[in-house]
Amino acid sequence: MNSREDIVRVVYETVATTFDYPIEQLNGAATASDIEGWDSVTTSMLFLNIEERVGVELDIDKLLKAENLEELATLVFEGVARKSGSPES
Amino acid sequence: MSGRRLVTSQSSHLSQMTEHSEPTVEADSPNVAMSFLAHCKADPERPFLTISGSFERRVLTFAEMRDMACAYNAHFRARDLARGSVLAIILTHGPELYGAFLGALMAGLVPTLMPFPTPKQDRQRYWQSHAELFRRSEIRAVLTYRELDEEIRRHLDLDCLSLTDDVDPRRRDEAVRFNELAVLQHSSGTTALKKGVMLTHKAILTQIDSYARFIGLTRQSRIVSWLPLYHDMGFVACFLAPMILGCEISHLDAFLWSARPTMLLDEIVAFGGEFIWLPNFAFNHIINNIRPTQSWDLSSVRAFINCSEPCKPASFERFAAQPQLHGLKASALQVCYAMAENVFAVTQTRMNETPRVLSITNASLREGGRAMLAEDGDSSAVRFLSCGRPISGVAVEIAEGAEPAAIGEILISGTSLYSGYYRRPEATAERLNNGWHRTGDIGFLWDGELYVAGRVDDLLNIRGKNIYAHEVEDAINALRIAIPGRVVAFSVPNDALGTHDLVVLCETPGGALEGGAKKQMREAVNAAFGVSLSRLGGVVPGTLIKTTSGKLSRNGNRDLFLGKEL
Repeated sequence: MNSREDIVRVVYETVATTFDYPIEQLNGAATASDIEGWDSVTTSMLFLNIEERVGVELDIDKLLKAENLEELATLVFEGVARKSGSPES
Repeated sequence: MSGRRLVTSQSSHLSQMTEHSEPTVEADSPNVAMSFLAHCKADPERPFLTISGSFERRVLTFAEMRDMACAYNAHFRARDLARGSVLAIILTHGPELYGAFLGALMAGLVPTLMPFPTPKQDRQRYWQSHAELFRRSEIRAVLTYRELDEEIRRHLDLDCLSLTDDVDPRRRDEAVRFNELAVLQHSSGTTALKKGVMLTHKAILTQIDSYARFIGLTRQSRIVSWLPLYHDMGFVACFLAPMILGCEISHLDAFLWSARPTMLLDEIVAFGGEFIWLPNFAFNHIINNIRPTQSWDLSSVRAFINCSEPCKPASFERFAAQPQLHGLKASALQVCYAMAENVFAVTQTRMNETPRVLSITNASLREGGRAMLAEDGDSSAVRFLSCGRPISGVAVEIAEGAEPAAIGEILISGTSLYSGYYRRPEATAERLNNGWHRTGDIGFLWDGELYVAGRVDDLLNIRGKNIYAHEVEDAINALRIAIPGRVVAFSVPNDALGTHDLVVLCETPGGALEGGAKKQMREAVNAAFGVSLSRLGGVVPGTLIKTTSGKLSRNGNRDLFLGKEL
């Protein structure tokens, strides 16, 4: 479940379910302001849901630096790799 | 007092200090900076500030904070800023906010803390609104980071732009120059229209002394906060109070807290936090983000103090019932009614007692006059959480009558009242008369305790009935049709009927409201308030206008609605 493709899929699925947004309309360039309902308060729910899916607690300050969905997926992937001790690739 | 001159000589200001002598200040002048320096002298190596954010957690002792403040003091004096000049401090969360603020006070300036532009803000709009605010308030000096240097020069007309990079930490000045006016605390709301509440050193020190006695806040107390410093709750309770009382504070980043609200609970446990101030929504936000596997021992907490927006009994009940919050005393959930115009606290519930909840009949609220207790089982009753009694030195009255439980505008007076709004004589005259401030809040007194029902601005009179906009918004939010918190209610004139219509706009995922959803909303409003919801509309997310504090602006959205832009 820890391959980059797996993590990207988890992030997309979680964004789609958290904000009730069509997954087929998501792409790597999407930002919070493109996705209805994604704001500073609901960000906490998104992170919580992602963490539940990947099974590790992530560094929030790192995730908050993501400027779009692709960056978020990369940061989640790196965070999972760090926490699970596997080398980042 | 404002005509007194600096006592120290210029040469002593600019010397590099290796030993800390007694700071020079005018005798008998009450001064926030002097209070802080007295604590530094008494116990310099004691920790003062624990600060964490998107940087490595830092702990600064009183001596370290003093040294930083002295460096800023020397820097400001070298810039030849006249005593009493207003200095806008635009910095992110970090120790420099504390050091720069204290240094500005020591230099006899009038600091005002302003929000730093966030990555999501439209920079053009941010600077346009601030340029207007600076023009209206005649603010001519700014301290910020080099990264904003160019933007600020492009947008603001200033006499002095100070950059943190230019502050030499080795060049320190311990002298304190007194200015009667200590700070400007800008009100929340639309940026350009914000008013600078003028607070003197004397008013601040009087308030902190009175409030600290009321709640038992002392030099030994430990405060944990995530609150931003440009709002009065964070600024006074969690920033000025620790400086003045010499107590220890752990300060979290508001941006990070919003994304991980349970970090406040982690920090309370790690730090042994005793006093925590929160707006009502924060209680819900924390509970909504607790995982089933988590738990915290909150036995160190003396008070979670709910303040700064209408305090809801349901929020307290949910928080208190959360099984993963161990050791939390029922009496630890407290309420404060506060505003910048009184420096901070006006009333406060009694520590060690659970705040009282009153059920008031719907009819007595709608018809005005007096609050009437509801019978048990009255499902239409409205519950109010007590805001407690006035703290020492503060008087509270209801404008509309001396009758017990009269409902009307809350008036306040006392020893820590503001001096007016900076450079806004008309706004001051509207609010401040003969030592009494019209708060714009509506409430009633019951057994000497204050209950706040809403804002004058929020009071909608629909077909002769008094309804608070926030109540309508709560009723619609409870249906869970709209995006949580994205509902705004207001009234618009109906010239044909000579009355006002109730309007609700809400953001929905698709930007529309189906017929069934509209029917549910109309029925909910009719059932709760006995009035018709005349106009109801769904809009796409991000359409409704927010104030700078993140709340939906009723006036702004009404203007858009009337202008047919919504």
